[in-house]
Amino acid sequence: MKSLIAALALSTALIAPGLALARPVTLTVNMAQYGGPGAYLAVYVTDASGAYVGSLWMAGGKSKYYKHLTDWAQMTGGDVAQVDGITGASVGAGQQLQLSMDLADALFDAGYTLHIDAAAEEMRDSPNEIAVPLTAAGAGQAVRGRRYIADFTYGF
Amino acid sequence: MKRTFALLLITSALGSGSVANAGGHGLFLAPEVSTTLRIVPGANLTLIDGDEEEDGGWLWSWSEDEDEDNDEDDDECEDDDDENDCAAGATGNAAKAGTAPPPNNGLFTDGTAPVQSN
Repeated sequence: MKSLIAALALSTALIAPGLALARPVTLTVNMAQYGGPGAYLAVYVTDASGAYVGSLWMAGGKSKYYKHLTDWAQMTGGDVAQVDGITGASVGAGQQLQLSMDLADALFDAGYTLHIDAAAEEMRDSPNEIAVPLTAAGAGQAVRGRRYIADFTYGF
Repeated sequence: MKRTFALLLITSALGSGSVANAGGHGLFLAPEVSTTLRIVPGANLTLIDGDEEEDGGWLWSWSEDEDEDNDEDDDECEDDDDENDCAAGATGNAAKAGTAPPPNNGLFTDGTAPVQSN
């Protein structure tokens, strides 16, 4: 009985902090009417020093076009493994991309920045189209894009 | 290499036009100006843009990216792909969401994967 209680206590201790550190986040990208085919988007995070931390999503399935997401490609070397399991279809003009994910709580109010690079066929590449600090206060506030993205919002 | 080839192609086209003047065809510049553009059959003219350094980078197209099958970007495997081989490893593309765990980059808690909800 004592060993059972000890095991339960241990498993609770291991699991509970993980749950406490999770923050459900919704990312919403509204595309502009840019008059072109579906855009590739790379959503990734850098730390306070500007160093690449990791990718959150890749919109666009063909890796040979990832070089046009120029900042992302430069930071990752175009490593496809960075977006394995987090890749979806490209996003058309006027369309919306909405993503739900559990992010580490430590990413917020700690100097991290979310970036989105964008590119579309026979149109100009648009690195760092969105760059928004991840803060609790910034949740729900729309950030305007430059070329392909009308606005971007993250919320809890 | 592409540029060199494009320049050679253009000069060849112009040159052949001049040669053709002897027969009364092609470019005829004086005194009565007559310009005739002759397209070499099968030739693909490439627009050479010199503003690569402008903000925003280079324009991209299927030909520049060596997409030999000239298909639309439908985010699908090619038609001649066997269904069973149409996986990330076979194409060199990233695994689609839901077909593989997310990368262990420390961003996703408990290994949960992001989900496209629209």
